[in-house]
Amino acid sequence: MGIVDAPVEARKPVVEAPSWSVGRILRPVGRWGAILLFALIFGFPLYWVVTMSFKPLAEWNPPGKVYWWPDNSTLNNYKSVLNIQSDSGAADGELSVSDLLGSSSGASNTNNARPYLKNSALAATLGTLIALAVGIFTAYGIARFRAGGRMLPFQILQLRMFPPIAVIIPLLFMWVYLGLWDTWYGLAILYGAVTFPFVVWLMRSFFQEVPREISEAAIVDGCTQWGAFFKAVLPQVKGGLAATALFVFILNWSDFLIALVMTQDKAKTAPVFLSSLQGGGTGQQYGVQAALAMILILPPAIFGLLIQRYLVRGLTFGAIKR
Amino acid sequence: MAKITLDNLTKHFGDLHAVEGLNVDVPHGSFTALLGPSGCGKTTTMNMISGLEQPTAGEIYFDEFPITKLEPGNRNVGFVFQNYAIFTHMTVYENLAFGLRVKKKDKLAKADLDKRVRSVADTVGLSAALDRNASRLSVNDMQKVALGRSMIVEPAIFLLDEPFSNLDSAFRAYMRTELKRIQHEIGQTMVYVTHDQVEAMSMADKIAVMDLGVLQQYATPDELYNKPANRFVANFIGSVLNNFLPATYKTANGTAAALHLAIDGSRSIDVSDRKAAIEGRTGTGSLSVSVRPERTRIVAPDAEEATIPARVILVEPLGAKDVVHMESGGIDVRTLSQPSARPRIGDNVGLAFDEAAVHVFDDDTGLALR
Repeated sequence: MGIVDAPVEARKPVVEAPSWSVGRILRPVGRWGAILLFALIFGFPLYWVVTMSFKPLAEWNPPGKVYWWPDNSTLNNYKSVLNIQSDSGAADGELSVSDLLGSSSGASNTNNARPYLKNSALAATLGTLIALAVGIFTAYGIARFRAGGRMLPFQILQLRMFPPIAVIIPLLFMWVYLGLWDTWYGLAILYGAVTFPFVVWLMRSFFQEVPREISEAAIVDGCTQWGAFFKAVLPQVKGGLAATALFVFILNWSDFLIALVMTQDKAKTAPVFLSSLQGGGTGQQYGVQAALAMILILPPAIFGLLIQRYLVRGLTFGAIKR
Repeated sequence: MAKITLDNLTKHFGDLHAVEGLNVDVPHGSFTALLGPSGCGKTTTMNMISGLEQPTAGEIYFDEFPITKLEPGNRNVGFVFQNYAIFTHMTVYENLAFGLRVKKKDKLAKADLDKRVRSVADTVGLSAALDRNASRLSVNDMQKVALGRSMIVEPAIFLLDEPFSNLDSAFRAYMRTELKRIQHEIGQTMVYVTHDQVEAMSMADKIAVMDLGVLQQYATPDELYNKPANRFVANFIGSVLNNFLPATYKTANGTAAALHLAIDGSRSIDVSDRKAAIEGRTGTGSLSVSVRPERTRIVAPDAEEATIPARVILVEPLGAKDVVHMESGGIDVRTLSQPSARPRIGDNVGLAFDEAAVHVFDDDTGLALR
């Protein structure tokens, strides 16, 4: 009763008059200054790669001059990397890398990254699929049936505790013996094995968020355990699945170390090829490397944008308990 | 439609005896509640009936057929879970149709399926929401979907595991009535698990009260209330916590003729009509008596009918009635009183009750003595 009868004035929130102080003005300035500084530091490499990829050879690394922006922007770096026959460079009277290496006129283009991009795509995709296929079932078994006991999740994570380089030499011998060395599928198997623990750990927590009753309801309705998994449980975690798939794909796609040791030429991947882009006559081929780097950024970025809707949900899954 | 027989049903999880030797007959078309505190084995019992758990020992019969070897999907049961377990990646329509679509045998024609879905949606009141995404439903509507999804397969037995405990209280009361109506309408055999005795009392034909995996009493709501088999049931049933008072007995000529309430030695209760309380007792000893708050009343402390003296320590107004908490010789007692005659905290009052309303319990076994 007392609350209802209280005069209206008494219930108004108290608003203080703004007081002008130095702190009030400096605080946002300091905040935005810090944000800007960090944005500059973190943005610089990206800026460098983007601008470099459009610079002609003469602007890559001329002594005593820095080109902050390409003066004569060109697509030749991309054409060279993607092996697109180009004569525009010659027409412009500009010296292209291909010209330098004498590869534009029918001779093989040593900058051609196409086969290596293809190897990367095949190995990373198959590797991701292997890791997901094995990892999802492992994760569900652990989350739902406590398969393998209490220690299994930790044992699986332990697989990631030593650096892959520790076992890469014996693996090299094994893969040569098995005929898997320097093949994209041999590489994919390794990618699957290396990223499998991540799938288990990520998916396990997603599956734990799905109430047990979801699968039980499906089973009572007449599904088998498998049917309940595919029809009722898996669709519930599709956001987490998308996030996991992207995460694992990025790991595989950007791998350098394993591909460096486990491939020679046939199955060489794009990151390894990128590191080898240094011509005898040109030194570091910055422009070409930058163009290839840009191309390498694309698939994860596109994939990420496509699944953005699921990604946010997937990455924040479990943050809110119902 | 079917009747259910639980025959010596037992479930152990390692050392934990979740359900021990449960014998219950659920008659065809009846509404039976499994009632008990959490951890009493009621949900485990439900899971065994549905087939989600295998019993350690014992058998379950639907009509006369043993069914423990059958897969859950082949038992023809509907199961409504406490947290709904609806499929949030589907629409309401797809949720309702799920049970019909996964059936391998006798698949329905599309038109028949559509008819069934719409008719069930109508029954549970979801006709307007059929195309909505299940994840966007309110909690209340989610439970309607869960109910409809179990109903649509026309199960022989309907199992509900605390289906309304997440609902707000007004809607819970509404759904209680609705469920009871549906149950009457289609004569469905229903087993309902709950820890809420109000829910069980208001809906069930018969209630099986369980504690620590053991059946305490299986009876109608009236019987549970008026003739509790033991102290646990007397304590668990009733909307206001029951009053338990220590008592002593003294035998005369080898039979306990009267009980004396220990709080006030001057008051004695005649128990000569309760043979079990008398039989085999010699000398003196102690027992417990209980008298429900609603069977007691506040009187003047010096009134002749005053059974025990008490002091008021708390008053809980419930609207129609007040729950008055009192203390008497270190023991908490409660009564219901009219708000018009609300006592003040600290008042010294007398508590009166009818001898016929008193239950007597053995201190060692907890069993009711009649």
